[in-house]
Amino acid sequence: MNDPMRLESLTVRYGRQLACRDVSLAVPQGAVYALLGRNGAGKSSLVRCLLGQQRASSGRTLLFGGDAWKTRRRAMERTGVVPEEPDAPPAMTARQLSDFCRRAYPRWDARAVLDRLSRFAVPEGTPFGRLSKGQKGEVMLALALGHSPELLVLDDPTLGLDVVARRALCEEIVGELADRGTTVFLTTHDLAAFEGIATRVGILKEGRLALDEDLEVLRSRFRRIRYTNHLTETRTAFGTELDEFHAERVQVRGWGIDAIVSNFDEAALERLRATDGVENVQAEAMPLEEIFLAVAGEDKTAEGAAA
Amino acid sequence: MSGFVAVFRREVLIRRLVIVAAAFAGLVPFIVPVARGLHGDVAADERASIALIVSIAFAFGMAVGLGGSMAAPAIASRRIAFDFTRPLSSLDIWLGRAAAAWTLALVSAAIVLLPTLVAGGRALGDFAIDPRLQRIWPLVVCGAILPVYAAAHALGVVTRSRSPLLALDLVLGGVAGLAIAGVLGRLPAFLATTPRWNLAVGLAIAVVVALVASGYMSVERGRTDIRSSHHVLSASFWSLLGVSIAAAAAYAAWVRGAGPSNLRSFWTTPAPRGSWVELQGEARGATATFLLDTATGRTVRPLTRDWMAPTISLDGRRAAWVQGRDGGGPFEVMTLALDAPASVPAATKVSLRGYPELFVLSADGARLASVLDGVLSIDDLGSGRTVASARIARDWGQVRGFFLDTDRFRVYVYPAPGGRAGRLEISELDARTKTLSRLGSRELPAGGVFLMADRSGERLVAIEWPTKRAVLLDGRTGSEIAALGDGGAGVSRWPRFLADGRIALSESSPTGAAIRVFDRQGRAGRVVAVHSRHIILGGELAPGRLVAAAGDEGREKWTASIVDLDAGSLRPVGEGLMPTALTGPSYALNAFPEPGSEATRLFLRNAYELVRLDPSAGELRVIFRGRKPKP
Repeated sequence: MNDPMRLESLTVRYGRQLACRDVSLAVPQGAVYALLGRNGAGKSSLVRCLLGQQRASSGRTLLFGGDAWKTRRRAMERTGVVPEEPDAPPAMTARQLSDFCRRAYPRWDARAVLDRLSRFAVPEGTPFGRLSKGQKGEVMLALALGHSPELLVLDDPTLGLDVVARRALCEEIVGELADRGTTVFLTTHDLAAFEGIATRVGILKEGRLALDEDLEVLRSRFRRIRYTNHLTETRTAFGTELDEFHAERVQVRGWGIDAIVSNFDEAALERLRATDGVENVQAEAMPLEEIFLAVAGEDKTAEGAAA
Repeated sequence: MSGFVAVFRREVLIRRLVIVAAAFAGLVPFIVPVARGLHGDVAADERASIALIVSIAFAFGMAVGLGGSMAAPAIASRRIAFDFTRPLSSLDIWLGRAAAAWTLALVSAAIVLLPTLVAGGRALGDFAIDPRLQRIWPLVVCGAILPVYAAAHALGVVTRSRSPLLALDLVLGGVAGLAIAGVLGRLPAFLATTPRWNLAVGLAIAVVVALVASGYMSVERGRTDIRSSHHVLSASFWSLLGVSIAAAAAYAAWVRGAGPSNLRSFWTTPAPRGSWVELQGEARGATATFLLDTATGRTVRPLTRDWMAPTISLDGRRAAWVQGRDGGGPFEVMTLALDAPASVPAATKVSLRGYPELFVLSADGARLASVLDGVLSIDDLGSGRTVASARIARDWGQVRGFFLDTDRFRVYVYPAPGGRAGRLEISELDARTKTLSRLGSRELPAGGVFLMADRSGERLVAIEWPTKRAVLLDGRTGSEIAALGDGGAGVSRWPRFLADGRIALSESSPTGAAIRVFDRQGRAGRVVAVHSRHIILGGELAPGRLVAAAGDEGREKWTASIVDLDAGSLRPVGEGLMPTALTGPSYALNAFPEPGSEATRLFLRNAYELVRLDPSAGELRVIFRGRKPKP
C-alpha cells in the first residue's frame, strides 16, 4: 500500500471507445517501471489519469496513497513530470521557467536546474519555443528534477530525440536514480534506451495490460527457439512439442521452426532436444524489443501452421 | 497564494508587449485632431474623447483577446498540463490568468490615457452622459473586464471543443434569453421600477458569477480535456443561470403576488356608492393599486400607473382603468363589474394612444369620457365606438368634468395650481348632436383654484389659492352666486356639499378651526367651533351629520368625530383615524361619496389599517391591515 504509484482497475473511455480497460498495476518505491505499448495502446490516457489531469471513467489512480484526481496538487510537490510533448510556455526562457517553478514549488533548487541546463548546453536566455526538440526535452527534464521528486514520470521522453540527446537524457536519469533512488514510471517506444535502467516492465495492448513483470523474470521466461522437425509429414510443420513452452509466435522457415516462447525452462528444453524427430535445437535470450514485439504484435499463430 | 502569484507573474511577463502596443495607441488621440486640422479647445476636446474611447476599447479588446487566448487554447492543446504537473491549484491556474488579464487590460487602458492626461486633457468624466456615471464609470469599466474575460474564455472553450453540445448551448441561450425577458416582463417599469432594477442587477450579477464560476469549473474539472471542459462549463453555467432565473422568477412572482396586506404608505379613495374602495401605495417595493370590496374582502389588482388611478361610476357598479405598459401606446381600457361576485378585469374595445388627462365614467359606467392631446372624446365601452369627440380650447392646466347624463359631458378647464392667472372655461359635449357648446368662463387669480361640484353639477365651490377665498359658482356658467368668505395666509379650507343642498366649509388656521355652514344660495348659517387648529371633512353619514378629523400636530394623533351640524356638536369616535371619504375618484368633480354610503363609515387608522365604524354602537372593525409605515 506504500507504493508511490498504483492503478486499480483503471478504465478510460471516450464515448464508445475504450482507451484503457481494467488496468491495475503498482510501482514500488525505487523501481523503474517501463510501460510499453504501440501507438494508440492507451499509454497517454493512462499517464494523464495517473497525473490527475484526466478523470478515469472507472477505477482509481493513486499517487502516494491519495487519489490522483483529488490530491493532484499535493502529489505534484513530490512528482516530476517530463511530458511527451514539451508544454512549457514558448515565450519563456529556461531561466524564467525555473524562476516560475521556484514560486510554485515549496522546495526548488534553482542552482541544480541551471547546472543541469549547463551540462546539457541549453542556452538559459533563449525562449523555450526557439529551442531544438532535444533541448526542450532537456529543459523539461531539468524542470522535472528541480524539486528532487520522489517519483519521476516520463511520457515517451526520447520521442524525436537524436542519439546524443537520448543518451544525455538517459544518463541524467541514471544519475538521478543513483543519487537519490527516485522511483521512475516511464512510457516509451525506445526500448533499447531504457532496457538497462528498467527494473519492471508492463505492456499495454489495446488498452489492456498484457504483461506486468520484473524485467529479469521476463527475460528468463522468453526465448527464441529454433529447431528442425522430422515429426511431421512435411519437415516444415510443427506439432505439440512447443505446448509446454507457451509459444507466442511461431514461424515456419525452409530450414525448420523458429519460435518465440514465453514459458521457457531448461528442463523442458532438454526434453525437446530428446524428442525423436527434433534436431538442431537452439535457444537464445531475447532483447526487450523482441519480447515487446512478440507480446504486443498482431500475430500469435504460425505462418503456414499445421497444428 | 504563491501559486497564484507565480501564474499571475508568468502571464504578465509573457504578454508584457501589450504595454508597448498601448503606449503606441496612446498617440492616436494626438494624431486624429491634427489630421482633421483642429486647434485649441476643440482639439483638446477631441483628443480627450478619442483617448477615452480608445482606452476603453483597448481594455475590453484585451479582455476579449486574453479571455479567448489564455486558458481555452491551453486546454484544447493540453499545454495547460504544464501547470497541472506543478503543485498549483486549479484556482491558482484560473485566477492567476484572470487577474493577469485584468491587470494588463487596466494598465494598458491607463497607458493609453496617460499622454492625453499629461498633455492637460479635460477631466474625462465630463464625457459621461449621465452625471451619476461621472464618478463611477472607471469602476464600471474595472468591474466589467472580468466577466468579459470569462465570457471570452467560455466562448473559446465552447468553439474549440467542437462538441455537439454547442447546439444545446445555443438552444439554452435562446431559452435563457426568453426566460429573462419573461421574468423582466413580469415586473414592468411602470409598475415596479425598483424591483425591476433589483432584478436586472441581480441577474447581471448572477450572469457574472455564473461566467466566472463556470470558467473556474472548466479548468478544475476539465483540466486537459477540452470536451470535458466544455461539458463542465456548460453544465455549471446553465445550472447557475437556471437557478438564478428561477430565483428571479420567484422574486417577480413574490412582488406581483402582493396583496393589500402588503401595502405600506397607502391612501384610499372610496367609490361614490357601494362598498368598494381604491387602495394605492407601495407593496413589496412596487407601486400597487387595489380595488377592495370592504363587504366581502375581495380584491382585484388593476395594472395601472400609480398616477392613473381607476375611476368608478357614480352607481358604484363599474370600475375602469388604463392598462399600464412600458413604452408607448395604444393602451387598453379595462373594466371590472363591481357588482358581479366572480368578475375579472376585462379589456374593452376602447384603446387610447397615450395616458389621458381626464378619464371619467358615466353614472351607469356604460360610457367613458377622456381627454387626450386636447381632444375630448366620449366612447361607448360596450361597442368601442367613439360617439362624440371635440377639441377643447385649453392652455396647460387641469381638465375635470362629469357626465350630466349618458349623452352630455361637462368639462372644466382651468389653470394648474400655482400657475399664473387664467380663465375657467366651461363647455359641454353632447353626444346626440355631436357638438361642443361653450357655456361660460370666469377669470381666475394667479395661484390656481380647487373645485368641487354638487352631484347634479348645478353648483360649484371654488377655493382660490393662495387667498383661500371661497366662492359659490353656477356650475353651468361659472358666474358667482355668493362669496363664502376669505381665508388668508396659513388658512386651509375644505368644502362639502350636503344631501339637503347646504354647503359645509371646514376652516383650519393657526388660531383655531371651525366648520361654517351655508345654505343652498351661499348665505352663511351656523358656525361649529372646533377646539383644534386643523380639521378635515369626510363624508356625510346621515343628513346633517358629517365625519371629520381634527387635531393639532401630527395627523396620527388627530381625533375623528361625528359632527352634528344642526346641534353644533362633535362626538369623538377615536384617535388616529382619518376619514377615507375626503375626495371622490380622480377627474370627476362631483364623484365624492354619496351621503350615507359605505364610504362615509370608513377610516384609515394609524395610516395602515382600514376600519369601519358602526355609527350606532360607535365600534370600529378592522377590514384589513397593511404594513406599518417606516418611522
